[in-house]
Amino acid sequence: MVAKRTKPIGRRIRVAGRGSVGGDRERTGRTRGVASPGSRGPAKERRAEESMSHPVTEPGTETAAEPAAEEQAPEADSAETSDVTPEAESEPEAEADDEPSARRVSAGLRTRALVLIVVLSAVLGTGLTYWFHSESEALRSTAAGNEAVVNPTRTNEVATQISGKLEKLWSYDYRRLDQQQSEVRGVATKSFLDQYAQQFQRIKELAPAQQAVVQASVVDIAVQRLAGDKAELIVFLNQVAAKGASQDVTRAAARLHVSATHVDGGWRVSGVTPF
Amino acid sequence: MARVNTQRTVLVALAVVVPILAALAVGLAGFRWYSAAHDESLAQAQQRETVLRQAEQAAINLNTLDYRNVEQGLKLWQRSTTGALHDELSSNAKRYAQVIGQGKVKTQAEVKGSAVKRLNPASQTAVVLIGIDVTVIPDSGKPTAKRERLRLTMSNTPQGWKASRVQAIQA
Repeated sequence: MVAKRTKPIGRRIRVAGRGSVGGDRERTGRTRGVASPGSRGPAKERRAEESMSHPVTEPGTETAAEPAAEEQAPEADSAETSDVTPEAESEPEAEADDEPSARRVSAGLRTRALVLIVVLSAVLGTGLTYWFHSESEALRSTAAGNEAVVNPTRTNEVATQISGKLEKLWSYDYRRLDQQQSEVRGVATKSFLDQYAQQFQRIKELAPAQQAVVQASVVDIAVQRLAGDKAELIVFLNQVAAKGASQDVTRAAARLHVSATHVDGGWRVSGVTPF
Repeated sequence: MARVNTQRTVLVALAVVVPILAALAVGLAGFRWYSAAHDESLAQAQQRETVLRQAEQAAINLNTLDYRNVEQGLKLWQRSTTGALHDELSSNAKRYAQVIGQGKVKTQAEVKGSAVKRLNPASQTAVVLIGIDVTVIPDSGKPTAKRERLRLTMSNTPQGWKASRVQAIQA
């Protein structure tokens, strides 16, 4: 929108230059006549405008404009030669007195238009960029690297492995407690096994007298969070305990929040919290 | 004069460079947004979050009742469910209202932990595990707390995700 509005300014100048080269004098003359009844003003003014418009419009305009100026009245010629080297002088300062106010207005308008382009594109650019950025960040942050469910292969892998390892950790038989303790070594992380050892010490004290055989089974498991080598799971675990000579059966239901860590190619239990 | 000239040159240069930079920045950010909006795994991750929230709400709704406000409670149950479960609740609403009215209890529910177990984008169904504590407050007497383990099957409907099956997992 903004770029379009500035074009007519550049185009008008180009028409004047091209017109004189192509032989369309009538149009050239008319354009000049309207814009500048003064003697030296118009040629100079036009050059200034042309050089200003180059970056935005066509690079070819400069050469086209050269003969246009020469074809003009002799007075314009002298103005031309003196002005070619410094190229575009700023209009308002150069002979501001005999310049028509329309010229100055259009120069001021152009400056304003340029400023408008810069400001609008900067504002629109940053605004839209920010909006797109925050929208896509919002989309990405919900996933935030959480592969749970979204990556079924990895989700199943962690669920299956942790399921089996929890059953191993939560089951025991009073007749083979030492063996059990050595078996869980690869099942959990070292820090978890340290905590586990303390609890298992109590089992070792109580289980033989109770003749306890406890079998744990995971009834349901879901991965809450899976990112890199860390995972969080929600686990429903049942324990069936047979105690005493009669092996009376008691059942227990547990809700566990389980943390898992990927170590040496497998998932290990790194934390268990009942909730 | 030369100073003003440079100022104008700078202005023109800015008028060229700034829109180009702005267009580039917007284009890049727009592309990132477009690819995020059309990323299948991102869409699934969003759906996972949505279904989890709505399953938690359904579990709370289905475990909340007040014998003094049976009608409203049953309506909430119906709104939270779909399919066979919804039909069952609707057709037995009268009987439930009677039972609840006689029970003279009020219940409150709080989700303690939850996770999506499965999400099937093709059938728009999901399975969600929820650990919920239900407090039963009788008209007279002490409140009791129940620790429930629920498996909710959720189905996507035009009105959002609703429970089509609720299983309480016993020991």
